[in-house]
Formats: sequence, structure tokens, C-alpha cells
Amino acid sequence: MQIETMIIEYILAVPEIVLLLGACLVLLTGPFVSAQSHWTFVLTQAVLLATLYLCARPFTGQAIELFNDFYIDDDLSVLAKSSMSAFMMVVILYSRGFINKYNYPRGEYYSLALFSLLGMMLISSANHLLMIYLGLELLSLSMYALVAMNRDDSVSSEAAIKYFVLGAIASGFLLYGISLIYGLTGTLFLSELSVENEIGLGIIAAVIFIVIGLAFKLGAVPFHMWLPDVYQGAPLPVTLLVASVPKIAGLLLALRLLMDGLQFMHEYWQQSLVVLALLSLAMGNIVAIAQTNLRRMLGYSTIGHVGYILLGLLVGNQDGYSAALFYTLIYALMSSAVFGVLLCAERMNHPLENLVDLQGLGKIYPWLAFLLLLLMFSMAGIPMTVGFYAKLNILQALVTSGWIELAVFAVVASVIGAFYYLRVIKLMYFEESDTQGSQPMPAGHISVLSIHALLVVGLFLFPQMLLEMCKQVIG
Amino acid sequence: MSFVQLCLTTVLAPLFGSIVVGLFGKWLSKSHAHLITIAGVGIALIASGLVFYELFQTEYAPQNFSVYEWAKIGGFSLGVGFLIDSLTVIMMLVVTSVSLMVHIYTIGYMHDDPGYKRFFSYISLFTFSMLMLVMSNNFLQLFFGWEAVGLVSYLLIGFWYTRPSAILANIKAFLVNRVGDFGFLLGIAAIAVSTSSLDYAQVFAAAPSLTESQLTITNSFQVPLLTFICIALFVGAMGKSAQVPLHVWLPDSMEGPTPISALIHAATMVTAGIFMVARMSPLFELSETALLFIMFVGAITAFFMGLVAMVQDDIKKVVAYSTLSQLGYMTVALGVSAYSLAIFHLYTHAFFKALLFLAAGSVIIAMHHEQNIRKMGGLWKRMPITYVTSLIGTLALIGFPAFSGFFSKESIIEAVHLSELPGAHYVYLMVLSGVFITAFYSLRLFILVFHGKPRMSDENYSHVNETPKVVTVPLIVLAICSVFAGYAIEPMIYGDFFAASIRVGEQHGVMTKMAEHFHGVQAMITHGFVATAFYLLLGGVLLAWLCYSLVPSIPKLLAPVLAIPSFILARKYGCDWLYIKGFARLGVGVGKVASALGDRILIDGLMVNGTASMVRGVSMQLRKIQSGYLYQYAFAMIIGLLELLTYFYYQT
Amino acid sequence: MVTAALRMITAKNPVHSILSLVLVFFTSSAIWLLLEAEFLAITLVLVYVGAVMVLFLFVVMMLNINTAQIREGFVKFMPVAIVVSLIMIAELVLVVISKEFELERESNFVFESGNTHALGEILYTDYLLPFETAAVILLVAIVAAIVLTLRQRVETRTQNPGEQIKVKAKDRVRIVSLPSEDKKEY
Repeated sequence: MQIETMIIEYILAVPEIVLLLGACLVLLTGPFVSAQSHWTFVLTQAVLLATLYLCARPFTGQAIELFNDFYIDDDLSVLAKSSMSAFMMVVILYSRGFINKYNYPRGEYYSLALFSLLGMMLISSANHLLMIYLGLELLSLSMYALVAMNRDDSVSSEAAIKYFVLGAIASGFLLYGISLIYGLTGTLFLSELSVENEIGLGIIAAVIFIVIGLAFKLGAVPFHMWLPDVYQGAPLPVTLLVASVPKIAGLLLALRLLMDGLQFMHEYWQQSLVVLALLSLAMGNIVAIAQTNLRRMLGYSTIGHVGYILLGLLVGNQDGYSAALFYTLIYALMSSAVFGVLLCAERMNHPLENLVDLQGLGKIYPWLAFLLLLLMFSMAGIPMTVGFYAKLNILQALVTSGWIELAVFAVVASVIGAFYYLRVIKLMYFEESDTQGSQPMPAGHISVLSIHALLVVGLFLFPQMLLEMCKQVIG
Repeated sequence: MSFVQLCLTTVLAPLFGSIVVGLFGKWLSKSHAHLITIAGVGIALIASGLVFYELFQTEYAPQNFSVYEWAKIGGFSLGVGFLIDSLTVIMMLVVTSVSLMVHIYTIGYMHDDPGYKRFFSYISLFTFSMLMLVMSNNFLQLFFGWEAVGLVSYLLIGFWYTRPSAILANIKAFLVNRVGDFGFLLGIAAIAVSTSSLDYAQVFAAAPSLTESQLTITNSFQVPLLTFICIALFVGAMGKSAQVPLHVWLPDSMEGPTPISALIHAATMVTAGIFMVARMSPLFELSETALLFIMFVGAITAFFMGLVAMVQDDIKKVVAYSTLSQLGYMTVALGVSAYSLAIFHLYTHAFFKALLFLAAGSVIIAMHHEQNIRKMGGLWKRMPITYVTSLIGTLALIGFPAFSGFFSKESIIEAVHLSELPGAHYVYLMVLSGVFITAFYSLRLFILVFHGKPRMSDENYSHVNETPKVVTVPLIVLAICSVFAGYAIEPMIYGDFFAASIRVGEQHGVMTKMAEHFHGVQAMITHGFVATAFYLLLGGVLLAWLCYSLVPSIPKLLAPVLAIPSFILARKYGCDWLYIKGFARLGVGVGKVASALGDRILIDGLMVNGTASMVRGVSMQLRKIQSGYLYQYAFAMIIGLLELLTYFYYQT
Repeated sequence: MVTAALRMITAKNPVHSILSLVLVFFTSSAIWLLLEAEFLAITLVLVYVGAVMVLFLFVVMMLNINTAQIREGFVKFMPVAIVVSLIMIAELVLVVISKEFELERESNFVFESGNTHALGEILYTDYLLPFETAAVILLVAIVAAIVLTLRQRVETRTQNPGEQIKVKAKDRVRIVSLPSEDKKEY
């Protein structure tokens, strides 16, 4: 009996186990193969593929708790884990050229990425505040190391230090909140959290500390300070990584904490999320206009998108959560594709670092420019791209639960936001440049990127399946 | 292949052809371009034939299914679906067969045009859009098809985009259709609001319960909801089917290449409005007012547009005005609840009007793009095939007994006669005199083009030759259709063909009465030779013969007497003048004032640029927060924490 | 402990402040001892004081940080910092003195054979997953540390015997065949 349950536990957690073993294997392979070898890359993708294969299963509508209830296996975690592994595969694929070109330590880079994925998967499956904290630390630690990877670049090191210190403070907040929760409720299991007597200052303070830890991870104003610096400072593949997959993990963190754990405090965290969302929408979209660095601009745009995600979360019902989930998945899709474009341009020795670098891209690399155009449309939420649906869903959830003022504010913010997205398009197509595009496009990169970017149109035409999935997993 | 797949093939084959030729035309040769598109349309024709066969097997039981759901917004399901019944299938056959003819004909007509492939791409796209329109099972898709055919029509009218007149004509067509589409959209919106569905089946099911509903426009002004819906939808039909007063675009659209005039502006697109009203018969039947409105609009179009055709000198313009007039007949039929007759006339008209247009095109090719009938004459010797087929087309158009036009037009006149709607007897007089007018202008055209002395230099005359086979073969095929299409009247009109797709209210028993008077095709033809209409027809023919063949001086003699009417007719009742000088200029004037005051100063200056510069300013200030100092970042976080904490402390 | 903590951030000399930190650890381990958590108390002393802080001390002594520069900002932002921290303290105090904390909770754990044994048993059974995760975190920390410090400096000149042995004549001498030029008639 005992043995049987143990086996079941390990079988259900097999994606994580495979991932962990794979990460170690990739790490060990590094020193044993030559620096130019593709084996680490192939091995990493194989591990990810195996993880994806093991994660993906049809939805059952049931939740199984494992490892003394520390670990939960439900539809939400399945969706999150599979999408995260899939995105990670794409991210690794895009990163490869850059890593090879600048001779980054491959084994370490890939295995740290895998470890960060492991952290994210643990967050997705966490049923205990301690697990959430540990998963988060695993994720953050890998991220710090990745951001600092390019030690010779002072901007990169500076970004890493900022990220690290601020991240430590945020973890401290989170941990403090968790300890308050433990003191007040006597348990850390998400499903058991509740307070016996009336809601007092203590639990409110705990919730606020937790929300702040969360806001930092997501990059909501005023806990966003690290985000533009990291986007700009980190090596491009790391920015791609930071900008895509962890957003899903961040949302899962929020869903686990707020939906699974603290739903009874909804009234309270909702108010703090309103403040954070409003600030993020305003700051993100307005400040992005003043940026001249493309990556920094994208960083602020992320903050704006986080505002949208928070809007979905704060509604606090099935509509809101699923809208936020949908938005996050779409955001990860768009964001990874945008950085994929940047990486592709970088590989062709036409780095898109500042906005001026975009000038005349429509003539130099027409296809790449077209893909970027689609993505910018999608980010701005213009119909014919799925970004429109993502925003629409959030707004719908807001309006149906009576937050009309917020919806109006969000629309105004995205109108302002449209300005800088469209400016990118203007630069690409309506400005001249003397540069000639001589380099051929890297075939594998551009073909995956094309499919990836065209998905924003494809999902606009066929959004139903993903929407249904997002609804279904939020039981 | 299953039924669904068949339907999908019908729709997608032309689309595929269009996309391939449109996007990859650069890499295709001319013959590949036309082969691909013709194959696409040919497949569509075969598939629609099979659909018809399947439907025939199941005794025309309507098939309603949804293919793809695009989105669900609130309670509305937006998607693509097909409703296949007898009405649809007849339209599918007409659209695909005429389209195929036009494709083949185009090979000859557009032979040396630089936009050859573009043209094929457009007409295939048109076929796709039109099929989407007729096969739709919901209003959204209907609207999609509606707008798509409008778009293609716009593109094709302006096909020779270097000609200023073509550009003017396509803008005109676009703007006038916009007026109609606005009404159409209002109608759809009213349906969506009142029935909360866009699906035909659900809307039709809900319609009877809406008869008592009122639509409040202002507090004191209410209109019956269904009347509003029907009239709004019909305004859309007026735009697309060129009914007075939204008819002005159709004659001008003759600027496009002739195959287009045949395909779009005679046989298919303009009939979309007629089809739509017939498809919505369950709605229209519930509103007496709307039917009355439709009947009068149709009668006015049929009569007055026929008159204009009498004074036109451009070969294509004559045919265009005759199209307007015939569309008027169809509309009248709709008005008196004889939907099946309207569709029947649509179906016969598609063949003979396409025939006439293509024949006109054939003449134009032979005359090296000369369109003025005053400069033609005596062509019958040089172009025997065109001559014979044109004769057949003309006879069909004027409704000579035993030709297809006879069956449909005669029946419509009879239906109006039997109608009990108030004012139907005036309409009866109008449509009856329309027969005379039709006969007159058709024969006038025919005689001026083919008979008499050639009114051109001998050298030019000797250069006129019969057109190549790609042109004449479609003419012959269409001529055969024009003769025999009418014999389908017995199964189509008096059988159960339309029973499942068209709903006629009991109070509008025109068709049942017609059925009582019907004793077979033979009897109808015999009766045709003694009916009033026949004498009028003969009168028209004789008068034309007299004026233009026997005594060509008569028109000149009569000119001073008829100065005022001909002035009015030549100016087309001043519609163009009113629209261009009146509405358009007023619109431009208002626009200029609004642009100067509202747009440039208020909106651009204050709101847009003002806001933009304000946002930019704020942005510049805000970015300073991001100082880059780590301790300031940390400080900001702590301040954030404190603010949130204090806020909640303050609350509790 | 509070005094030591304050002393740690105010001390001018970094060595002093590290020593104060050591004191902080000692006092907190004493608190744990009072709570009857002997194992944790001892671990704290051993790991933090014995290993971490000693390393810290080495680093600080070796780097010889100039504190004067850091001081400048300290004085400048002092007033704001004091206000903020006072508010913070006030609010946290409010939390701690609120009624919720007056509840008596019974400890869930019953020690049968000393708390080291109990801790071990719990860690390896109930808390297996968090424990393993923590292990992975430590692994990542090691990897990260190595990635960030270990590097082959380009500027250092070292011999690579393997490369030297592998070298072939072909790699060193390039034989170029030059086409002989035709004599031109001038």
C-alpha cells in the first residue's frame, strides 16, 4: 500500500524528475564535449521534449495531491507546465545562435535555463506556501545567474546586481508574509488556509506582504524597477527568457496564492491589486513612449501588460482568472516572438538595440519587419491579431463584474500604448536607411519564428480552443 | 465526399484559384493563370451540381449546418455555416455557371491586357464571395459576402485604374453602396438586438413573436419593429440591386471591362439584393408596409429606368439601363410576395442578360472598342454568330413567347395583376407599359447595331470580323440557355421546389391564384400570343422598326416635340446632378467646415496633439523616477509597501 | 540582539559591523535555545558564525572597503529613512499587538526522542519534497557561483599541452603555389 502510493506519486511527478535529471545531465555534458559541440543543445531540447511529452495529458477536472499534499497535480498545472516547456523549447532554439556566436558557456546556460523551468514547474504545482517560496527561489536564483552571465559587460552586471538585491528584498517580504500567515492560521497548506475569527490587521498585513512579493515577480509598479534595467542589461537570450516563460510562472504563482489560498481575502487583495494595476497601466504605457532603447521600451510595455493581467486577476472569479491566464499565455507568445525577431536580426549582424536601428527594416529585411509588424499589432491589441482577443477578454471580465471605470482606464492606457507600438512600425516602413541587408536569414530560426509569429493571426481566427482550455482549467 | 465537404469544395475552390493566381501570379504564365482559375470555378460548378443532385434526392429538404465557429461573444455565436436549400442551390448554379462562362470569355476579351492575371484573380474572388453570400446560414456571413462582393465590384469597376472615369465610377459605386449597406447593417443590428441571434433559423423562428413590437426612435415616435427591420434590410438590397434612388452607380459601372458588366452587374451581384429579400421572406411576409414599399420602388425602377434606356447611345449603357429595369421587375415580384417568381426571373435574366452583355462585348471587340451605337450598323453580315445570339437574347429580354424571358416576366405581370396590395393596379399599369418600353429600346439597339447601312468608314467596316471561339462559344451556350431556361417554370414555380425555402403568408395568396390559372407550358405560350402584353410588345417592336429602319427620319422630325422629355431622360432625371452637385458638394462643404473647425483646431490641435504632447511630457518626467540607483529602487519598493499597509490600516 | 543589529548598520568600520552581525546570530541562536530548538540553534552557530561569517570577514579584510563614500549618502537620506522606518515599526507593532496573535496555539509536534531526531524524521518523510527542492536550490547556487567566477581569462597566458601535441605540420606551414608569371614583352 505504502509502496504503491509512493510509486504513483513518483509517476505523476515524473516530468519534474526527468527535468531535474536532464538538467544535471546537460550540466555534466558541458565539460566533456568540445566548446563548439551541438550536443548540449540537442540534449537540452530532448529533455524539454520529454518533459513536454510527460506533462501534456488530457484534462480530467480532478486534482491529485502528492508528497504529503505538498504537490498538486491538476489541469491548471498541466496547462501551465506544458506551455512553459513548449515556450522554453522555442526560447532555447532562438538563443542558440547567440550563444554560439558569443561563446557563452553552453552547458551552464542551458542547464540554468532548465533549472529555472524546474522552479517554475514547482510553483505551478505548489500546494504549500513553502513550496511556492522554494520554487520561486529556484527560479530567481537561476535567473540572477543568467542575467549576470556576461560578466565583462558592466551594464549586464549592474542589472544582475540590482535584480539580485531587489529580488532578495522581495523574497524577504514574501517570506515575512508567509510567516505571518503561519502564525495566524497554523498551516501553510494553500487549501487549508482560513482564519477562525474575524479578519484583523495581522492577516491583512500578511496578505499585503505576499501581494508585494508577487508584484515584484510580475513587475508591477512600484515594484517594477528591476524590469527595464534587466531587459536592457541582460544578454539578449536571457532577456528573451525573462520576458516569456517566467510570466506564466508569475501568473501561476498569483493563481495559486490568491485563488487557491487566499480567495477568502479577496476583498482585501483586490483593492491592493487595483492600485498596482492602475499604476502599472499608467506607468508602463506612458514611460515607454519616452524610451529610445528598444529593449527598455519592451520592458515598459511588459509593465503595461502586467497591468492588464492584474486587472484580470483582481476580478477574482472564473472569468477574470481565465482571462488573465489567456492574456498571459498570449503575452508570453508575443513577447518571445518579439525577442525572437531581435535575436534573428542580431544573428544577421543587424542588432536592433535602439529604436533608430529599426529604421528602414521594412526594406532591409522585409519578412522580418512584417513579422514584427504583426507582433506589434498584436501587442497593441489591434483586431486581426490575437492580442485583441486577450484584451477584449479582460475588459469583458471587468465589465461583467462592474468595474467599468477600470475598463475605461485600461482602454485609455492601451490607446496611449498603441502610440509606441505603432511608432515601431512607422520606423520600419516609413523611414529610410542606407544599410543593406546582405546576410541570409538563418533558416531554422526564421522558419520557427514565422510560424510562431503567424500564430498571433492564427489564434485570432481560431481562438476558441485556447479560450475553452483557459476556462476549463480554472475550475 | 460528404455533403459538407461538397459545400466546402464549392466555396473554397474559387478562393484557392484566386489566391494562387493573385499572390503567385508573378511566377505563373498567362495560360496557367486562366487554367487554374477556370479549374477552380469548374470544380465549384460540378460541386454545386452534385449538391443540387443530393438535394434533389432528399426532395429539397433544407440542410443547415455550421462549419466553423469563429468566436462566441455574449450569446452571439459568430461563425461560418451553410444553409443549403432550393433557393441556395439555384443561386449556386447560376453563380458558378455564369462565372465559368465569363472566365472562358475573358480569355479572349482581356487577351492583351496587362492586368490579365489580376483580372482572373478578381473574378474568382468574386465567385467565392458570392457563394459565401448565398450559402450563408447567418447574418454575419451574409454581411461578409455582401461586403466582399461590393469590394470586388469596386476593384473591378476601377480595373483600368488609369482612366479617371473608371476611378470616378468605382468611387461612385462604392459610396452609393455604402448608403445601402448602412441600412443593411442597421437592419442586422436591429435583428441582433431584438432576437439576440444572428442565425437565420433562430431569427425566423423568433420573428412571428415580434409582430407587435415597436421600435422607439424618440419618445413620441415609434415604428413597428419588423417594418423597420425589413425596410432597413431592403435599403441594403436597393443599394446592391440598384433600385431607385440608389441606382446611379450601375450605369457608370460599365466603365469596367465587359465580362464584369456581364458577371457582376447583370447576372449575379446585383441580384444579391433580390436573393436576400427572398431569403428573408419569413420576415418580409410579416410586414405589409415593407412589401408595399418594395413593390413601389420596384415599379418605379422598372418603368423609369426603361425610359432612360430609350435615349442612350452607348451600347453597354443601354443594356445597363435595361438591367435596372429588369431588376425593377424582380423587386416588384418580391413586393407582391411572388418570391419564387422573382428568383425565377433572376435565373432566366442571368442567362439572357449575360448573353446580351457578352454579345455587346463581342461587338465592342470587333469594333475595336467603339461603344457608340450611332457609329455601328449592318454588322449582321460580318458577325453572324453574334447576330443570331443577340437576336435570341433580345427576344428573351422583351419576353417574346416561348423564350425564357417570357415565362418569368409574363408571370410577374400576372402576379401583380392578381395582387391585392393597395395600389397594385397602378403598379400593374407600370409594369405592363414597361413591356412596351423594353421592346422599343431593345429593338432600337438591335436595329442600330446590326441592321441598316454601316455608319462608319468602309475601311473600318471591312476590318470588322467575327470574334474568336473563346468569345462565341460562351455566347452560344448562353443563347441555348436563354431559350430553354424558361421551361423550368413548371417544376420551379408550380411544383414544390421552393416550398421549404420561401415562406409566404396566407394573406398573400398571389402564387396560389397563379397556380389555379396555370395549365401547363403549352397553354401558357398559346395564351401569351393573345395577352395584352404581347400587343404592347409588338407595338414596341414595330415602333422601333418604323423609327430606326423604315423611316429613319422620324426621330429627327419628332425631336422638337419631344425636346423636354428627352432632355429629362438624357439627364437621367437629374439624379447624378442632385447627388454630385447637391449631396456630395454639401457633404464636402460640411466636411471642410468640420475639418477646419473641429478636426484641425479642436481634435488635432487640442485633443490629439495636445494629449500627445502632454503624455510625452508626463512620460519624460516619469522616466526620471528610474534613476538607476539601487537604493532608490529599494526605497521605492518600501514606500510602496508602506502606502499599501497604511491604506489598509486606515480602512480598518 | 536589537542593539547588536543597530550597531551592525551604524558601525563605521566594516569589521566591527561584521562582528556585530556575529553577535546577532549568537543572540538569535540563544532565542532558539530558549524555544527548545537545540539542533537549530547549534546549526545556526556552526554554519553562520563558524563558516559564513568567517568567510565574510576574510573578504572584507582583503578588500579594504572605503567607507567614507558610502557615508555621504547615509547622512543625506537619514531623516527620510528614519521617518519611513518609524512608520514601518509602528505599523508592524500594530500588527503584532493585534488581537489575532493572542490566540493560543498548541504545538503539533510531540517530541519523543529529542528534537534533532524529530526534525530528521520530518524532513525525510513529510517534508521530503521541500527538502529536495532546497537541495536543488543549493546546487543551482553552486553552479551559478562557478559560472560567475570560473572563467578562462583571455589575458592570462597558459600553455595547452594537448593543443601543442596535436599540432601538425600542415597547421603551421602553408604551402602556396604561385603561378609563374609569363614574361611580358615590353
